[in-house]
Amino acid sequence: MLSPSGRCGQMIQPVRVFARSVRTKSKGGLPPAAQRVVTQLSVMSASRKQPKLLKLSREDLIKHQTIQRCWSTYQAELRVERNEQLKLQYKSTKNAMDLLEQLDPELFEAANAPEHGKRFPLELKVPTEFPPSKIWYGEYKKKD
Amino acid sequence: MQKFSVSIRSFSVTSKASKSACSMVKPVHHLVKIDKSKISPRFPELKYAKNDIRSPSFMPSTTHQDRSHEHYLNTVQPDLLLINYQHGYGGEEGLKNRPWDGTSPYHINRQPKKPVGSKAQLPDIHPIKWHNIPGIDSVVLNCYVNEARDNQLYAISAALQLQQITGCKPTTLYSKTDVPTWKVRRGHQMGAKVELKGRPMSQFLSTLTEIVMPRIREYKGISNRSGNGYGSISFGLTSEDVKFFPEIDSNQDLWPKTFGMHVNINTTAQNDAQARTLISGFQIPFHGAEKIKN
Amino acid sequence: MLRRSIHTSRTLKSANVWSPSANRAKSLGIRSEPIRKCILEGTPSNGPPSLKRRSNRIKYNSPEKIDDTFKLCYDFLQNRAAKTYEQVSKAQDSKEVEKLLIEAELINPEVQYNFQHNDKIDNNPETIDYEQPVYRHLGKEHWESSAQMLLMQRLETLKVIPDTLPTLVPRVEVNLKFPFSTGVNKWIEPGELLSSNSTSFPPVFKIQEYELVDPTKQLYTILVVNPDEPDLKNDSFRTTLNYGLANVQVGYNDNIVDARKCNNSNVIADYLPPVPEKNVGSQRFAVWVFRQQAPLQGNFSALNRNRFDIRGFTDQHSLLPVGAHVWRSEWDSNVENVREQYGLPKGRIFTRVRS
Repeated sequence: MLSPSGRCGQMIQPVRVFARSVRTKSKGGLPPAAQRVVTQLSVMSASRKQPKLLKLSREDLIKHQTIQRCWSTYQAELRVERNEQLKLQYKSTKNAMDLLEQLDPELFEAANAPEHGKRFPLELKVPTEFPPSKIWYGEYKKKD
Repeated sequence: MQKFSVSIRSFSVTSKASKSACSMVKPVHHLVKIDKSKISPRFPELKYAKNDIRSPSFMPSTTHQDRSHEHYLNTVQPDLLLINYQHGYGGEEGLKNRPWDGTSPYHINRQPKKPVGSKAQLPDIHPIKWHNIPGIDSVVLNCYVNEARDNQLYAISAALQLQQITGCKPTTLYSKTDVPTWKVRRGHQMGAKVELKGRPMSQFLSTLTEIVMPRIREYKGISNRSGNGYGSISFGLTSEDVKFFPEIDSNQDLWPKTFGMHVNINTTAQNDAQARTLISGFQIPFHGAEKIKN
Repeated sequence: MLRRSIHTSRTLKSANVWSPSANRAKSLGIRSEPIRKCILEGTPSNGPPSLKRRSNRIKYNSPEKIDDTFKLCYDFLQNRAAKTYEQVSKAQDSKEVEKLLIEAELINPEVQYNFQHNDKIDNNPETIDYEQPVYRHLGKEHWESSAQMLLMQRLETLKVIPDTLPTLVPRVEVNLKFPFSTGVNKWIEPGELLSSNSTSFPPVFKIQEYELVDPTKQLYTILVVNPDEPDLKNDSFRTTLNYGLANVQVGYNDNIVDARKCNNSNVIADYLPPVPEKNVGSQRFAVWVFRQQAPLQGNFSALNRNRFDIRGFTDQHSLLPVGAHVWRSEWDSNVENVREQYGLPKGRIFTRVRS
């Protein structure tokens, strides 16, 4: 509708009405396959996994360092202990075989035969805390 | 030998040595090793060691019990020492290159002869003692996707699959050469691989042996003929097998396509027989006839 | 496992080797009582005392269970230290004792706190006491981690090493300062370019010894040489001796060598300030510190300071170079004043075209 004189010049321009409504176009304009890859790449990017740098006070830093040092000392001690144990095991195996060689050469041959294709049994499980190693008390009797 | 002339520094002319036309490696007159990053006053936080909590790249490593490694230390390691014990075995020298006898002057810089019966030199075999008991060094997952030559987006999916399974960041694989018969062109992204060590490795091994392998239909185990001869065992997982990993299994809708992969278990064993014995201690089954030699 | 081993060791815990006692050095403990309590007995409810502002203390959260874990670990490490101290009492060799003492105290959190959060160069002997082997060890590690590398790099790039002495195996830390009113009141970085005004009075040296020596007997020689003095007759350069001190004694903590403290028997050559002539470029002033084998004796007034042969001098007195430092000087407008002050002749002016 054209208004009477005066406002004519303004009304000639087409009026664009801005109204908020549901967006009809897809967001990035990417095809779904590409969008999928973009999501995959963003999952892999490091920026999401980098946590904030922990800020410790001076006292807590020293405590943390002490705890770490204690842990590494303890682990080193365990390592030495295990190594010592293995050394002893090797030496006693050697002594036993030396003795067997003198006592009974036949048994010694059998004991020293190379074990090709030796396998740990499949039943050997890596231990877990749950379920416990003894699952069922077969001989359970109710106490009266 | 080239001789360097030592000139006296003269006051009237700038010395020629400092204006040499060729690049010169200047001699160093002291034995102190210099790390330039430590000298610079910039970025003081980057000077901390990686395992220092103040360093930006600090990652807490000892966050949980390493079940698989403890099993190795408590059970497998002492047993392996006993299994591999051979009385009076002093080790074996591997095949080595043979030098020329020097009867001809042309022998001087000639490449040595290859060993008899082998294309390459072989390492020495030492008797197993307490200090060299075989152990698992690392596990490398290698996922090469053939279809990626047509659609490189598959390589990205493969990388994500590896990351989901292992929780470690994979590296991309690129095709190295042009192979026209396979339609492969050089420099294309063809898949991903990841090297696992320490706790991620233990985690992967226990998932593989306790969850994935038991669920594979009619699974016989790793072939006894597998191995590279130096103590590394390899086997494959098909794209169907990969679906049994709990990370993939729990949301199968997100994984319409999975990718098979190669698993290489690198051990410190000296030959494959030792390596197979070691790996069987982690609930991994084997099948087929045992290769006696190697 | 850890807990179990500590439980068993609790019964042995008779020796609190790290707790303060009469024959234990004060410097091995933290001076500030609130901080010491915070570390050893747990963070107080109002936050860690090292945070000064109250708002920061309120905002701050300690990691969970850090105090309990720390106590466990402290007992564990203290037990190890007690065992090491037992070995110390049996050890014969002084080097071995030193090594064990370092081992016993290096894991002490109080020592670590003192060293990490106090000034290492201008050290207060109540916190960082270099007479203690552990602080010497930590100091040496700290020096090697950065300052030593910087020094060696500067000596190499400025060619001080082959030009004055052939090489250096650094064993003592040498620091340099020009403390007088004209000087710059800071420790000079090796190779720094200094104005003639700031260097117009003699420098102060700090010789920090980290190795096991007898400070009451060990004597040091300090030489400052300038290898860049133009020598027109030979169309080359000559080395001049700008400053020489001999028979200097330093302690582990009290180790500042000041011209005002030195008497005439120590000074073998008076201080001549750097007065480079115009257009000769920058001149290097190399400071060399030597360990002496015996007190230096002789008539040093006969030294040829204008053509000083530093290699000959070290050989003659069998001096062992253990530390070095270097600074550079250039001609500036103040050089003339310094020359007047020391009664030196007016400097030459060199031009690009030499006749």
